[in-house]
Amino acid sequence: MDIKEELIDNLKLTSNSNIPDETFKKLLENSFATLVGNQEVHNINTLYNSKPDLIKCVYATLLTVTAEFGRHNLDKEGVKTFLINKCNYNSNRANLYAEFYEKNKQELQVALGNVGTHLPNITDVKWKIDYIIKSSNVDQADGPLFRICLIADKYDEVTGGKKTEHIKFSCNSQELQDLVYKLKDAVRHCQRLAVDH
Amino acid sequence: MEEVDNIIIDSLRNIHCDIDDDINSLREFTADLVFTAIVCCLESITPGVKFPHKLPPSMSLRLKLATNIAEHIKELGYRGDMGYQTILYCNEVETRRVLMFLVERLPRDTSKTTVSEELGYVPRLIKEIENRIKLSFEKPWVPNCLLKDGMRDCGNTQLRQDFSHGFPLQTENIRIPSTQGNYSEALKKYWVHNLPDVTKQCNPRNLIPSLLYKDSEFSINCLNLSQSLKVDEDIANIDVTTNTINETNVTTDVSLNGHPVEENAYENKIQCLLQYVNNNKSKFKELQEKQKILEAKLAQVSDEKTKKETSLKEAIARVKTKSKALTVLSNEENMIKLRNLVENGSKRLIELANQWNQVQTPLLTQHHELQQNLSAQETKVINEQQKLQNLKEKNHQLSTELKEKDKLEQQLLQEYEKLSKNTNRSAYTRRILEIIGNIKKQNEEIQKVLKDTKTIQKDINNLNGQLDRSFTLSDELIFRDAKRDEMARKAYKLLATLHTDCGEVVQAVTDLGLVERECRNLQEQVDAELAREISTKLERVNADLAEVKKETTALIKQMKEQL
Repeated sequence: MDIKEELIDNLKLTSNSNIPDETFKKLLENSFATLVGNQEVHNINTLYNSKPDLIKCVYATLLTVTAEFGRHNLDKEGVKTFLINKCNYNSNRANLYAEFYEKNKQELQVALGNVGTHLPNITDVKWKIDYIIKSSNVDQADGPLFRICLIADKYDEVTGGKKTEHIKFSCNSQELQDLVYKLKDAVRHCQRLAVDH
Repeated sequence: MEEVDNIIIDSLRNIHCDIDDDINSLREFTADLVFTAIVCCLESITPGVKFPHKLPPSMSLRLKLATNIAEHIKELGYRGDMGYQTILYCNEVETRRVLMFLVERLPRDTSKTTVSEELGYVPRLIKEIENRIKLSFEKPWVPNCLLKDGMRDCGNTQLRQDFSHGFPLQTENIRIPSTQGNYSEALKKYWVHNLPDVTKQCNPRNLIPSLLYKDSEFSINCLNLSQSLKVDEDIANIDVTTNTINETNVTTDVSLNGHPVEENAYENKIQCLLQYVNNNKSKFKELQEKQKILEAKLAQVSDEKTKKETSLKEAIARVKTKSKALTVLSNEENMIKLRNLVENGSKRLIELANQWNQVQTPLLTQHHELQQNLSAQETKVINEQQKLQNLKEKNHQLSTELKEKDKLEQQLLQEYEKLSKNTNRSAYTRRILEIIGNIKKQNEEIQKVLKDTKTIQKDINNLNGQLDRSFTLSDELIFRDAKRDEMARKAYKLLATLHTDCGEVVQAVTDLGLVERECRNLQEQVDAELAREISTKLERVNADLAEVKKETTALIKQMKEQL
């Protein structure tokens, strides 16, 4: 795992500069809470004491490093060895950190997974079959027409939340067949991936 | 033999060879079973070799297969008698020998020490992806509205089913105070008093991406770009206006077709205007350039002016001090006073210097000593630090090794648990020990018998010597008497015949012993031959031969029919 030298240096600050254990613990609680998306547990202003710039720096570093750990899917032991070997943490603080990490890892990874642009997620489908016997500009029709409406969930920029989107299209039987085959192909591909090993 | 059979059957079952549970010894093996057992062994000894597991019904095919397999076994290094007959017309002893040989050659699972492989990042990722896909196939579908954050909880992993909570990656510029390096006081003050926390510097949603990625730097560049674009906007505007004029020109062309004179006049006017505008544009540009040059010059000049002003001020100050000194020096009394003062001052200075030297020398020596001490301590500290570093590295290495060893131990433990189920090692060792005890006892008995025979041999030799000696003695005595006495002469003759007869009897007895031994050997051979059941085997061979003949005749018939 590559972590910037600067971050490691800042982490070393938390290990050997004069941040009391209590403050460190509170900072950890705060940073995990914010990363997971909750409110900060302690008011940060009460933690500043005489060195607001140091606390600010440490806080930012803790947030960044924790996010990096989650991104690289480190386990508890990996976090501990990293902190002890590279950042000169004593085993007490490393243990404390690792416990917090273990507790919040899944939620942290969920939060990390939420970052990114995704295609709409199809949840349901509505359909009907039309048969045009005659219309103003066509005398004869070639067969049934399938009107399909895919209902998909999608992130909405405006509201910042979930929005259902209706994707509507119509096709004749050949095109529908093609679509179904493509879908089956995709499913088969996935199954082969899952079974092979 | 029972133990050997048990071991062979047990190991055959281990390599998944179908053997009924009722079969306990090799005597119960049929030709079919022997064949399948040998094939199973061969397949597990040399991977890649394939034979049918059952004997084929056709006799000629059987023969072919059996010879093939026999050759294979010979290639493996089997020394004994090996041919198709050993497989097809097996007897107990030979099959035991062959199967023992093959079982010894079986690959041991335990000898394969499974070394834990450290996978790279990409294979691990692929493995993870495959696992996730498998999991998503195993779990039934659940409506999205029942899920929290679109995540599906599957024990220790979570499966993302709904992506609609995901927001696009967007970063903001975050300022983090740095405690290392030199920064200006103002910046530090800003950090201490004014800078908000990172969590308040941006939208909470954008916090993680902003912390992890720094592509907000790009958007700052974009801003600069737009500013630089704005500078040239004026000139661009002028271009646009001329374009619009051209356009209007065209439209008037179209609309005023019927009035050529007016149109010409209009055109001239417009051209004049256009020229005017163009001229003005070029002039404007020239003027702009001139302005730039002049501004640069102005800046230069003002710089020079400030420099000269400062030098002037310094010069004035110097002149003032000098003029004051001159007014003081012009009075002679003042001069004398000053000289005295200067002399006193220099004397004081020398005294002070002496005093200072007195004080300074011990202090200097002390200082030197202390410095030396300090440097020695520093080197010590550096050494210690290096040692510490080495120890840390060692610790790291050892811990990783320990982990690997732990993993290996667990694997081996698991394997051991698997193994212990199908081998009863202790029973075997107990048997082996018993057998060794038996052999020892037998050895002792053999030694005893050997001793007995030796003593008997000795006795016999003694008796022989005694006999010889008594014979020669009596021979001499009787021979002496024989010259004088007729009876003695007869007796001497009788003695001679008795001696030769006795010798013949002894010879006959030894011959008898030899013959008896030969007889026993022959009996053993006969028993061995009987054990091979040659007659029944020959009958079977005959029957098989007849079958082969039948098959060949059938084949010939078929050929003829086809012809």
